[in-house]
Amino acid sequence: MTSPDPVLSDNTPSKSISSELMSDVPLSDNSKVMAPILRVQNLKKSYDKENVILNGISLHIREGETVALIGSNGAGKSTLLKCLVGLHENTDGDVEVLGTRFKRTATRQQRHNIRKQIGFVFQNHGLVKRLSAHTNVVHGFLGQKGSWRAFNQAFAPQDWREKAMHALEAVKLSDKAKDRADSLSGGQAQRVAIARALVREPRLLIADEPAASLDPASGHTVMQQFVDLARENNITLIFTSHDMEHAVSYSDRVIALKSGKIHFDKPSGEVSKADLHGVFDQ
Amino acid sequence: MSAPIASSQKLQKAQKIEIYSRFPRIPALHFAVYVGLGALLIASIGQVSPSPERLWDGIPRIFNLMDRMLPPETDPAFLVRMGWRLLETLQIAIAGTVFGVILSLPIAWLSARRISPLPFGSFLFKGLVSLFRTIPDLVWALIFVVTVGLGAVAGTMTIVVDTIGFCGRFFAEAMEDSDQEPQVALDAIGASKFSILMSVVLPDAMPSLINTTLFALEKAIRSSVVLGLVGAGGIGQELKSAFDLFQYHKASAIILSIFVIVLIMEWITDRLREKVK
Repeated sequence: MTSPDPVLSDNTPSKSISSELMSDVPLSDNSKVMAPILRVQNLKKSYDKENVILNGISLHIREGETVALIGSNGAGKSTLLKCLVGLHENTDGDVEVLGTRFKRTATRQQRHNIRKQIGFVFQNHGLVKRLSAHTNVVHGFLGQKGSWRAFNQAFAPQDWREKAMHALEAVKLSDKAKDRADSLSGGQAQRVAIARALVREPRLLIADEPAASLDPASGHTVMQQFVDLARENNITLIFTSHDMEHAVSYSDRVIALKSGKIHFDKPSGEVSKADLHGVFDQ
Repeated sequence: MSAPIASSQKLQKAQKIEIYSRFPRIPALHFAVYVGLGALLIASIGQVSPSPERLWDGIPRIFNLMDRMLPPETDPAFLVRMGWRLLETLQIAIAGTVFGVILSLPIAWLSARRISPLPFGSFLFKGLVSLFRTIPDLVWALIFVVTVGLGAVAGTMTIVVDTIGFCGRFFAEAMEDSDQEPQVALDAIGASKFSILMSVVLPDAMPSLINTTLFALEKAIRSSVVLGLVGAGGIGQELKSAFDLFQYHKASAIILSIFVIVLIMEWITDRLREKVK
């Protein structure tokens, strides 16, 4: 296993790290220079003694990076993403996301601080099927000030409506703005979900298997647009994938999870076939 | 062709598979409960269902009553008065349903599992809805006649409570059945429970909510007809007095008009239901 960051390596005295991570102040001047957007130290998640999902994950992701999380089913990829934004309660460990630190459970305010700065794209797009593509993108403003106006594009301020149209334009779907989400193809729906995530101008974009439910051609289109838009806007992107080609082609760095631990963490250009085979060996 | 058969025979010889019984075994306690329920059914039929002799004796009386009811009353003054009463009946039903539906929405939200912002208090609202539903509408009408007096107001309040009992339950179920994925997606970006209700749950559950509302309206029209029997306004009061005064021609006219109104409302609600997708 490669330790991703000397600051958070296993050799670092745990006492100083944990005491440091307990407070809500920045880590250190050095870390500011490195512009950390996400730090995880010894993260553990289990549902019971036998069902351990994450078993001591430590990683460090810098601003602007595009990171692919790979691993077999049950390796803990989705759980890790959900732990980062407080959708799951952690069993142990320290997490710092976008300057907000928490241990087991993020407080309501901490969750709010994190979630207002992120975009999240799920495998099955998570669009409201009976509403238009435009309204679904406007939903990206929920959680922000005056968010009742994001219930529907009809109530939204003009600049939100325009931003939503620009986001749809960015994923080449502005001509489908008025179409209901359930009339879109799988690939189109996923691109609308990406537009919804982008419209809030997030610093961190998290995507859980964004292309898994799509055919290969649509999957490549979606991934290409996704990664291009993230890079153009200097958004840090973390995505999980079962598709090794996607993971290596569209990321700067690949982190492999196996049995709840980091199996390897390498720049995508250095990932070999043997590395990838090792991830899925039982 | 012989190889698979041979291997199949080998398989049969090699493995002795225990096959479960064709029918599930019934525990002794369950069997006793089933026998008890059967005995109760038989005893009930014996005690309260009409005997063949009694049914036979009733047939001439039915024809006699029909003879006294036909033809229906067509006196213009009576028809005008009946028209106003019918209008009042519709007003009770529509106003009661509208207020009932408006009040049902927050109650359903507060009682719906996973959707409610009060995860540990939702049972209180479920209990309230059950209370409203369990007590029959005629009993509510009697309560409101005593509290607010005779007339349409008591009828409207009865329909409001009855609608909350009906819609509160079905709205909550529709909310609970709404698509989970958009809810998780918007929760992940910090949307509040109320935002998720307005942005995901209500739009997704809308066809079901509208269908339930239309059923509630049909139910309210039927209920508002009988509420007059206990003095809670509407055409029911006319019907009761017609029977009390043995004015069967008037009673048949009222019954016919109720039938026509219910039929028209069902036709309208069916058309509306077709439009909701």
